[in-house]
Amino acid sequence: MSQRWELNGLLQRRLWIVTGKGGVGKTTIAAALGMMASRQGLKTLLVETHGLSHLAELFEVPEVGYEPKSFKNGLSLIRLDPEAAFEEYVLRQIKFQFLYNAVFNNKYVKHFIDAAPGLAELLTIGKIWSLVEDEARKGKKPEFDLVIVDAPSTGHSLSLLTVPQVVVDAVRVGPLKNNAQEILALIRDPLKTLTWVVTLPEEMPVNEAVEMEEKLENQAKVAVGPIVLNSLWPQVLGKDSLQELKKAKIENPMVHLYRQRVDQSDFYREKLQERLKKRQILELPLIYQQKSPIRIAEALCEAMRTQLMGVKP
Amino acid sequence: MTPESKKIGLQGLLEKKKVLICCGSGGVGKTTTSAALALYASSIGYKTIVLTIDPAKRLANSLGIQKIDYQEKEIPKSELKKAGVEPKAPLFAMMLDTKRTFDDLIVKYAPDEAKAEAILQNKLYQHLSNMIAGSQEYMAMEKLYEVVQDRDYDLVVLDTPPSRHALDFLDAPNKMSAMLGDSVMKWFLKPSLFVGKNSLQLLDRSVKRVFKAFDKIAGFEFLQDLSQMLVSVSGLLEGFQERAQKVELLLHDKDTGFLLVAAPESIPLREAEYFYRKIQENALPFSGFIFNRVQGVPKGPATPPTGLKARTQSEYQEMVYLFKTLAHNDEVEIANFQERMEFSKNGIVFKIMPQLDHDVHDLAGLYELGGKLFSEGPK
Ligand SMILES: Nc1ncnc2c1ncn2[C@@H]1O[C@H](COP(=O)(O)OP(=O)(O)OP(=O)(O)O)[C@@H](O)[C@H]1O
Ligand SMILES: Nc1ncnc2c1ncn2[C@@H]1O[C@H](COP(=O)(O)OP(=O)(O)OP(=O)(O)O)[C@@H](O)[C@H]1O
Ligand SMILES: [Mg+2]
Ligand SMILES: [Mg+2]
Repeated sequence: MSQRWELNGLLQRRLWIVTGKGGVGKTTIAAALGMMASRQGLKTLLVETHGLSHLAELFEVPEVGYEPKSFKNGLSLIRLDPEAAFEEYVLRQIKFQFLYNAVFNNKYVKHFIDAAPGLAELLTIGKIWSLVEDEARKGKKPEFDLVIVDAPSTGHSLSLLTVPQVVVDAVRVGPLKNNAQEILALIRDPLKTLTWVVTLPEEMPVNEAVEMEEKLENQAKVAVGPIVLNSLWPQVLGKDSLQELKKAKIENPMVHLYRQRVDQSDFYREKLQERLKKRQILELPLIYQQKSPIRIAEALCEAMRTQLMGVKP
Repeated sequence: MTPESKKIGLQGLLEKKKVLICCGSGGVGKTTTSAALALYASSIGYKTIVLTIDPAKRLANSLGIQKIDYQEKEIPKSELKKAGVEPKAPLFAMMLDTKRTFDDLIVKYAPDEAKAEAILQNKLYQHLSNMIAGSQEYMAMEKLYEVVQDRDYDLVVLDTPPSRHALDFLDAPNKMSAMLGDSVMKWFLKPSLFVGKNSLQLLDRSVKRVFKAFDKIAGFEFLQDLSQMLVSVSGLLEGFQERAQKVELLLHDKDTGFLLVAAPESIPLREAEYFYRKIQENALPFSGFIFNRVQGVPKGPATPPTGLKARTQSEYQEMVYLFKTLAHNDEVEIANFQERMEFSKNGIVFKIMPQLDHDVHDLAGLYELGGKLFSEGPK
């Protein structure tokens, strides 16, 4: 029997990480999830992890920086920046700005972060951790109930989630190691952190989703939430209509292509179900009635709510 | 819109270019486009090779390159003929590996085996090697250089990995040498670190400060590990840098052209714009845009055939609306994009590949797409 998620349970987590192959709809789904959470009254922070995230653009608001910025009831946005995160982190440890400036000339920092393997990822996941846990560690109420990360595509997301373990293994003692352990404690706590794998009804996205699910569970050891099967072909022709068209021998190229698209969606839906038996799969249609990315996200938010609240449409 | 006179076809491009590099964001069809382009080029008489990255299994099978063995494989004429292609020149394919690649670089540029082994065995290296930014992209470039240099193809088509950090591969060699050249890094490269914590007293004040800061953050032992690894890697740098420079020359050569593959949707097109600017910034020879998977309206009566139930009629109408909307949206996105980009340069190819009604994993499908790429029609 496959796992069943229910909206309230999902919303009790503190951190959602949205991942999947390039171009499958991660940013759109992250936005839709943000809409869903804030509608339930949660103070929600959406996180852009890389320069090309386009969340601000989707919400039609000005670009944001390294400070969370509220732009709509209950929804805030932040864009992470490894250089700023580096400075913030080092300052936490050495506490003197003048020393930081003396040691880390800006130019060096950029090169250093660019070139040091895994450092940008470590800084990113470290900042995400502090966005989730900072206040709680000081015994305060967190500023955000839920943090949603629009993560990079599969491989890079996996680096993000596995780099703390690398640090724990490679570094013997010191604050770096302690921090990495704290990050692991957050992302490996299934009551706090969930990943959302987004995919499409096509061969490579489905394969990659299946692989990702396995690696998230076994390699990164992070809990996997619902799988989002996005952009299914809209079934505008009901069974009866299709049958009638068939009987009347109406087989023009349009009807033919329509059937082909439906068949392809069905084929990959079944394949995904077959290969991820224990997961709940949310099925989202290709939205053709809306054009702007924000309207598409709204429509997808509705569709996910319906499926997670168990309400029959 | 670009004036028609400023556009040139792919055919014109082939007369000028020896290397075509297909780049773009994830899943837009880089691999498919590269293969289609190569197949078509060979069919009109160019001896061509496509260097492909992570193709779908069935596509690899169709190209006869199931294994990653860095072998150039000729696609048998008989296979091509079966798919309805009458090749005028031979077509080759080769699969590039994007994994475990940094090890190869170490082996290649280490002065001797022992040195290479020392690095490969370094614990820290093992942990970090598969995270080195841009190394995968860089490997593709290395192979490209080799093939262009040592063989006599008329055309080499290079597929690129889905690079989140657009065009990482171009920066990879620079990044590596910038890091090792930096003053902060130079301190790490000093053998004094191996002596132990006490040797800190011998260092001058500013250096000592740096180490104190690092020590506080990462712990002294970690710094030693890091230093040790960097010392061994830095020995390879010379060869690495030299080659990187040659690769860079090749990328900037006038015989090379970058093609940007994009999906006709608003967010992906923003990304294509970013890629385009990056290519401009790097002064790379840009050759054109290919919009892939553009939806068309299939033929069929736009009004439902008469005599159907009312419900069937209205659903049929909705289907027509669905197809028309999808096609219209794509058209609008592409038009907006063109307007935004204000192409000013002559000689930029601008092509549309339609969404086929099936996945493109066989030679016949690739040939069909290739035909569209090379058609000189209005779209
Ligand atoms: N269900 C849907 N119906 C219609 N359009 C959609 C749907 N889901 C996503 N899109 C559109 O598809 C495009 C790609 O989506 P998006 O940018 O969210 O993907 P992504 O996975 O974040 O891509 P990248 O890997 O490049 O970051 C966008 O233009 C988006 O509006
Ligand atoms: N014009 C098209 N019509 C129909 N299907 C297509 C078309 N172009 C590509 N596809 C299909 O889309 C999928 C993705 O294409 P492809 O693998 O070429 O993308 P890519 O950009 O190389 O992806 P990645 O970034 O993951 O390397 C493949 O299954 C391919 O068959
Ligand atoms: Mg995105
Ligand atoms: Mg590819």
